[in-house]
Amino acid sequence: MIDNLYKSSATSKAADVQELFIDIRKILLATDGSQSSIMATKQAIAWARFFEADVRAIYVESDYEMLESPYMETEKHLKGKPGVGRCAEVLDAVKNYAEQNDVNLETRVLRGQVARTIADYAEVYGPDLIIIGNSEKSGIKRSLGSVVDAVMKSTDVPVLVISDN
Amino acid sequence: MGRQDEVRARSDFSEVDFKMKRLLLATDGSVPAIMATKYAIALAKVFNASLKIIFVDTSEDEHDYSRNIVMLDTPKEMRQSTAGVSIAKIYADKNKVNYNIEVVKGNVAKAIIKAAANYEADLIIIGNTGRTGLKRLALGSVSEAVVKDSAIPVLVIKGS
Repeated sequence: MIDNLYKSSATSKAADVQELFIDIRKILLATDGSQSSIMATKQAIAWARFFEADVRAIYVESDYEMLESPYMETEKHLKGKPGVGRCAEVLDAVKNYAEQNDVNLETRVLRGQVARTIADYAEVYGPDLIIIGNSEKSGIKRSLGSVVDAVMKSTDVPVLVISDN
Repeated sequence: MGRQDEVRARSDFSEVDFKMKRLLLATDGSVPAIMATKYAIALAKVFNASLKIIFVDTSEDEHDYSRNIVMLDTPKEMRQSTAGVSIAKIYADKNKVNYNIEVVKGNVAKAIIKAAANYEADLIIIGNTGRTGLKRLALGSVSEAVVKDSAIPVLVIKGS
């Protein structure tokens, strides 16, 4: 994503400093249809339009077994908000929106523990940027860590987080 | 789906307001922060945006003598902080990015969010630096705290 990385920060001299360039060719958008992920979708399309990048939108359907998820993400899905069965609807909306904005976007539905699945898919797709919504705010869920925190821990790809704060 | 629902569904995704005119970079001179510095400057260039570079000084007030003694014992920490801002300045100059630098005080995450709000930043860029070990287990990283509370989009860069 970024060129001309320089090696040693401690010995940086003005003469060594090069011009920086950034290019974003592939964006990975993780969505679940929540308010923050609608905002994340808008950002993803805007960034894609600006950089003429491709977007891959993924919806991770969480495994239903509680033991599979240390983040209690499954609980949200079991209650049917915002997850279960909505993936096609959500991804269709994202796809339509991309088409309206002349952005090349493909969708995928994945299954597994949410954060790990996003990070694993990033390995496969090789994006220059991951964009994700964040709506976790407080309480038990927070103390266990959010999906976003877990994604940030499990990938080296820059992560753009959009909150509905 | 009725006509009204269709219209409503579309308006959910109304036009994007992609304004990237003011970027805020928080740096402490750590490796991830220097990576974030490079992203911030490259983005400021490509977006033709202004950049605010902040360093959060977490030292207590001057009357906290014990803290001052600790700081004397750890000049490396001080050097690193100054280096973060200096490196950002060098890159910004080289890349002809319009910037200004500010040193702010207080809780790191809160100070970053406050500075970004004051600056009316469109994007916050930070490295995933921060606390290590037990402190991190208890409190989480600075980037996590910023992400949790910021209403402004946050770009988190890993140092590798």
